[in-house]
Amino acid sequence: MSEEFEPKIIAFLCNWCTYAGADLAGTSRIQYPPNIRIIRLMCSGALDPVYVIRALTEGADGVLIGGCHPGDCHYLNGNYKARRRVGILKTILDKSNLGSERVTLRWISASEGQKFADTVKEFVDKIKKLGPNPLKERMV
Amino acid sequence: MKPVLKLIKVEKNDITAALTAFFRKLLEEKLAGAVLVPQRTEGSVIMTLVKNPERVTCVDPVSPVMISNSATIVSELTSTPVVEKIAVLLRPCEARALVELVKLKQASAEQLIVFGIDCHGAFKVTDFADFAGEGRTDTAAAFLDMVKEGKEDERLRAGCSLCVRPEPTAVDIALRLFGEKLENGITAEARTEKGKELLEKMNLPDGSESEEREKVLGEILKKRKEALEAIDISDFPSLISNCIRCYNCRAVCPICYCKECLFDDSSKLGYDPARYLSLAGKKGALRMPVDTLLFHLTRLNHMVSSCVACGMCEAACPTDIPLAKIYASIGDEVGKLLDYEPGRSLEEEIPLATFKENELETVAD
Repeated sequence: MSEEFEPKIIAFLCNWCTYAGADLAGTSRIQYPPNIRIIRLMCSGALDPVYVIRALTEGADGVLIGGCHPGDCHYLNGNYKARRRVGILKTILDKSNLGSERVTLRWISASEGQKFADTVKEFVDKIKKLGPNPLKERMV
Repeated sequence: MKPVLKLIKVEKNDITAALTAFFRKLLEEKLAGAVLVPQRTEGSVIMTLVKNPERVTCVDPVSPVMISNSATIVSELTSTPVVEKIAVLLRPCEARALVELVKLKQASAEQLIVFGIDCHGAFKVTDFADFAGEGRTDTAAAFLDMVKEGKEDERLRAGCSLCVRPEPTAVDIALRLFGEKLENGITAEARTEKGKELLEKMNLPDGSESEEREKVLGEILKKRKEALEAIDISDFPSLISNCIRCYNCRAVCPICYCKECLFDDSSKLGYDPARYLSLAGKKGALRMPVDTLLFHLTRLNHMVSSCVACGMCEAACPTDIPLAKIYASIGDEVGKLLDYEPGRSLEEEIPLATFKENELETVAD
C-alpha cells in the first residue's frame, strides 16, 4: 500500500469550551486535518474512561479529550476531575503497554479556534508517526 | 493521641486461646453487643457474628486462609443503623477495604470497634486444606512456626506475597505480631479514643514497644517492594487472555460495590447477534466472549484508585488470571500519581471525588 496512513481520531469535547473552540475554528475558516470525529459532551468531567477504552479497542487510532482551562469549568471543577480520571487511565495504559500516548487531554477555550486547529494538526501528526493502533487488529 | 499499649497475655504459647478469651470477655462484660471474628471451625477459618460468649470458641486471625474480604460483611452489617456496638476483627487488607467503603458511604464505622491484626498472609484455599490435612490441628501455631523459619513465602498466595501493608492502618485497636515475644502476650495498641476507652475497661497489664518490630517489618517490606517494582504487565492482553468474563473478580471485590454495573446488562454495551456479526465483519475475527479487554481496563479505571490489594479477585478467578499482580502493580503506580493510599485514613477523600488545583500538570499537555 502506497497510500498514506490516515488515522481515525475520536474527540470528546466539552460543550462550553472546546466544542465552541472547534466551532470557532470552523467559522473562522481555519483549516485542520479531517481525521477527527467529534463527540460533544456537556463536560470533560462527564467522560467515563469506558468510552475512551471502547474507542481504542474498536480501532480508533487516537482519542482527544478537550475541556475548559483550569478554573474555567462551567460546572466549576469537572475538568479537574477529568484530569484525575485521564491521569489514572494513562497510567493504566502505560503500565499495560496499550498506548497511553494515543490519549491526549487538552484545555481549549471557546475563543481558541486556532489552538484547536493546531492541536488537531499536532495530534494527527503524532498518531501518523505512531502508526495504526495495534488493538485494531486484536480480536477485541 | 499518644498510643496506648496493653498486653493480652498468652499462656502455653496458645495465641488462639488468648484471643478467644479476650473476645469472649468483651461480650461477657458487655463492652460489645456482638463480635464479628474469624473462628477456626469445620476445617477452615470463617467469619462468625457472635452474641453468646460461649460461642466464642476459637478466634483465629492467624491461620493462613482467607476465604473472603470481610469488609463486605461489615458493610452489610452496618447498612442500616444498629443500636449495639459490634467489635470486628479484621486483617489489614480487610480493614483498609472497610475504610474505603465507609468513605464510599457503603458502610458505617460509628457502631464499630475495629480491631486490626498484623498479617503474615494466607495460602490459597486448597493449599490451606493441604496444610491442615498434613496432621496439623492448631494451624495458627503451625503457621507461626513456619514464619519463624522464614518458610511461609513458598506457599503464600500472590496477593499476600506482594503485600506491602501487612500492618493495620486506620483501626481502633491494632494487635501486634511482628517482632513480638508472643509466648508472653500479644500487644494491643489503641489508636483512637474509642479503642483506648475499651482497652482500659479490659483491665489488661501495660504493654511495651518491641525493639524487633521495625526490623522484622523492614525485612518483609524490602523484599516485597522489590517484587512489586519488578512486576511487568506490558503483555497485558496475554495476561488476561483466559478471561471468560464470569465477573467473579468483580463479585468478590470489596471495592466493587455498585448495585448496578454497566457490564451487567449487555444491552447497554450493545450486544445482539447483528452487532456480533457486524463487529466480526469489521475486525475479520472476533474473540468470544468479546470485550474482555474492555472489561478489565474499565474495571481497573473504576476501582483501582481504591484497590486495597487483598488479591481476592485472583483467588476467585477460575482461569488463574494473575489479577493480584496486575492490581498491585497498577494500584501502586496510581497511588503515587494521586498521593493516595487506599485505607490509610478516614479523613482523606476518595481520589475520584476530589482534586487539587495544582497537580498532574503533565496529564493535560
